[in-house]
Amino acid sequence: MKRDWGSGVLRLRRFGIGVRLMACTLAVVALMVAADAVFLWQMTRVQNEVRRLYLADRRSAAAHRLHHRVMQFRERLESLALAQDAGQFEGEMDSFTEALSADAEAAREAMRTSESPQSAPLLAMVESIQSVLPPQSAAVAALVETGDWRAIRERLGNQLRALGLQTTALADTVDAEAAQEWAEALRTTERVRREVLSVVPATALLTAFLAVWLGAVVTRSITRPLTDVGAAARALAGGDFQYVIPGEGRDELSELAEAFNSTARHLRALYQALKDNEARFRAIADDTPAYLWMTSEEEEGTYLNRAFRDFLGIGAEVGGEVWSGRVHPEDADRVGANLRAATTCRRAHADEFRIRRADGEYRWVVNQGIPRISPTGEFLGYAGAVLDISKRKRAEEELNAVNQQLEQRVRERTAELEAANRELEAFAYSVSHDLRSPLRGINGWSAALEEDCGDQLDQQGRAYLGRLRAESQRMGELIDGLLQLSRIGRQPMKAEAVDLAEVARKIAARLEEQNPDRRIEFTIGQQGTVVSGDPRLLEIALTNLLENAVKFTGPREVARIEFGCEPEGSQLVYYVRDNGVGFDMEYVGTLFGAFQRLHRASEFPGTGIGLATVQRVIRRHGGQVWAEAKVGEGAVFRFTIGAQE
Amino acid sequence: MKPGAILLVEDNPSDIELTKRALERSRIVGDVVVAEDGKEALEYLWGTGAHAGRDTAEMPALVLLDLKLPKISGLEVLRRIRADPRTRRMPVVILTTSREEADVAAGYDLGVNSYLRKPVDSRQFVHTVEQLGVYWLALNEPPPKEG
Repeated sequence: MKRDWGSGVLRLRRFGIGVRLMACTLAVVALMVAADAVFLWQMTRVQNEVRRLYLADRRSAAAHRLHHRVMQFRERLESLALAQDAGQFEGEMDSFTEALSADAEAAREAMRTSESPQSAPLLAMVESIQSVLPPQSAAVAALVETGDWRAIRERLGNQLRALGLQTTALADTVDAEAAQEWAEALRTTERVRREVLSVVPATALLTAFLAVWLGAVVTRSITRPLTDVGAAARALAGGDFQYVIPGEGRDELSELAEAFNSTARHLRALYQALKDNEARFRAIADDTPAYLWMTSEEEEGTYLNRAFRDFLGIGAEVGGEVWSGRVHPEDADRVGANLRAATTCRRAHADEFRIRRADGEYRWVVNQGIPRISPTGEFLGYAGAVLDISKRKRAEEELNAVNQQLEQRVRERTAELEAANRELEAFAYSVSHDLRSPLRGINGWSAALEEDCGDQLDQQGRAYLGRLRAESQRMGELIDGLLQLSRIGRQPMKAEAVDLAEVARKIAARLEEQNPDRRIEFTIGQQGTVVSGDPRLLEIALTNLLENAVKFTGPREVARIEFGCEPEGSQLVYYVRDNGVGFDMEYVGTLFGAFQRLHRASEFPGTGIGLATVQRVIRRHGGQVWAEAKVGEGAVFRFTIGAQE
Repeated sequence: MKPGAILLVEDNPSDIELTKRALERSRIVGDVVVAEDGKEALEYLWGTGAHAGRDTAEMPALVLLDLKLPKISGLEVLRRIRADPRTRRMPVVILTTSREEADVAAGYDLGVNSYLRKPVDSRQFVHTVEQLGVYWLALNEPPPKEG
C-alpha cells in the first residue's frame, strides 16, 4: 500500500506542483459539474411531467367548458322555446352557437396536445361535435322562421341531449386520461425523487472523497519532499553529511532536493577535506617534538599537543592555567610579569625559563606565544610552542665554562707573555746599560793610554789602540742597532696618516747635510704616498733604506736616489732606487736577515741590522719588502703597506 | 768644600775615573764628591748616616746622576731630592748609558734639569763632560740659597 502511495506520488511527481494542483481542482470541478448535470436532467424529467399534467388539465378544462356550454345552451334555448320568443331566441342561439364553436375549437386545440393513444378518438369526438353544430343550428333557425316551436323543442330535446351526452363522454374520457397522466406523473416524480435522493449524496460523497484523496496525494507529493528536505537540513546541521534525500522526479521539489543533495555532496567533500586536513595537522602537531599549545582569552589551555601533554603528565583533558605552578619558582615572577604585560597589549611574547616535567625534573625551555585574532579582529587567546632547550643550555654552560677556562688560560698566557716581555725589556735595558759601560771603559782607557803614555808607544802600538777604540765603537753601534730592532717588535703600533714622500724629503735633507762632500740627487715622487701607519717606525725604515742608498752610491760621482710609488695589480708598491754598486741576486735570500751583509766591511761599513729592521717595520704594517739588483748597476727596494689582496 | 763642587752619583769605577778625569781636564770644577749608590748620595746631601755631621750648608753646585744604581735607583734619588725643600732647586743632570724613552720621560717628569747619554767614544765623552762643566758651573746662574 505504502509502495503504491509512493509510486503514485512518484508518478505524480513527474508533473510540476502547479499542474498537479490545477489537475486536482479540475477533477473536483468536473465531478461537481457531472453531479449538477444529473440533477438538471432529473429536474427536466420533473418539468416534463408537470407539463404533461398541465396539458391534461387544459384538455380536461376545455372538455368540461364545452360540456357546460352545451348544458347552458340547452337550458336557455329550451326556456326561450317555451317562451316562443323568436327574436330573443335567434339572437341568443347565434351567440351560443358562436361560443360553442369557439369552445369546441379550443377543445380541439387542447386535444391535439395529447400524446396519449386515446387522443385520436377524443379529437374525432370534438370534431364530430363541431361538425354537428352548424347544421343543427341552421335547422333550428329554419324552424324558428317557421315558428314551429314544438319541433324546435323536440329538436332541441333530442339534438342537444345527444350533444350533451357526447360532451359528457368527452369530459369523462378526458378526465380518465388526466387521471392516468397524474398517476404516471406521480410515478415519475417518485422515481426522480428516489434517483435524486440516491444520486446526490453519492455524488457529494464521491466529490468529497475525491477532493480529500487528491488533496492528500498532492499534499503528500509536496509535503513529503519538503519533510525530506527539512530532515536533510536538520541532518546537515547536525553534521550528518552522508544524508541523501531519496526519490526522483521532475518537479520543483525534486530540483530543490537535487540542489540540496548537490550542496550536501559539496559539503561532504569539503567536510571530508577539512577532516583530512585536521587529522593531518593534528597528527603533525601531535607527533612534532615541539610542545604546542593554545589558550583561550581567559588564558586557559584549550589545546596541548600529545608531546606537551606527555611532558606535563596530563591526560586528554586540557584546561586550566598552563604555566602557573609548573614554572620554576625562581623564574615564576619574571615569566608571569612578561606574560601579563604581553597579554595586556595582546602582543607576541617569548621567554626562557625552567618548567617542571611530569617526572619532577625542571627543564629549560623557550616559550613563544602569538596572539590569535579572529578575522573580525577579536582576541581569541594565544597559540604558541615550547622547545626544550636544556641540552642547549647545558652546552651553553659548558661552553661558558670552556670559555672561562680559555679566558683564564689567555690571561695566564698573556701574563706569561707580559712577564717575558718585561724580562726582554729588562734584558734590553741591561744590554744597553751594562754592555755599553765596559765598552766605554775599553774605549776610554784606550784613549787615556794613548794620551798619557802615547810617547812610550811606537807607531804600530798607537795604531792598535786606534783599532781597539774603533772596534769598541762598532760594538756600541751594534748594540744600538739590536736595541732598535727589538724595540720595533715590542712597541705598540700607532695608526696615523703618514705621507712617506714628506718623510723621505726630511731624511734626504738630513743625509745631504751629513754628506756635504757628496753629490746626491734625490727624486721624490708625490702621488699616492700617504699611508696609514706608525710615523716613527716608518721613518726608521725609510731612513735605513735611504741611508743604504747613500752608502752604496758612494763610488758614484753623482748618486741618483729615487723614491716613489707605482700601482701593481690592486696594490701600491713603494720603491727606493739607486744607481749604486748593487749586489749579486744570488745572495738576495739573506739580504733581510739580521747581521747579514753582502759587502765587505772594508768597502761599506755597517752592522747588518738595517734591512732586518726595515723588514720588521714593513711586516708589522702588514706589508712585504723585496729587492732587485745587479752588480754594478744599482739596486731597487720595493715594499707595500697593508696586506696584499 | 769650595764652591763649584760636583756630586757624582755613579757605581761603575771605570766611569767614575773617566768622568773625574774629564772633569779635571776642564779645569772649571773644584771638588768632585763621589757617591757610589743612591743611599749614600742622599745621606751626603742631607748629612745623615755615613755623612752625619757634615755641614749641610755647603751644597754641591751640580749633581751628576746615573740611573742604574745599587740600593736606591737614580730616579728615586731624583724624586727625593726634588721632594726635599733643601734640595728641590738643586741642578741635577742625569748622565747615564740608557736612552730608553721611559727613562728620559720619567727623568723630566721628576724635574731633572738635563738628560745626557754617555757616548761610547771617549773623545765624545770627554767633550760632553767638559761642556757640561762649563755650562752648569760657569755659564748657568745657580739657584738662590734657601732662606
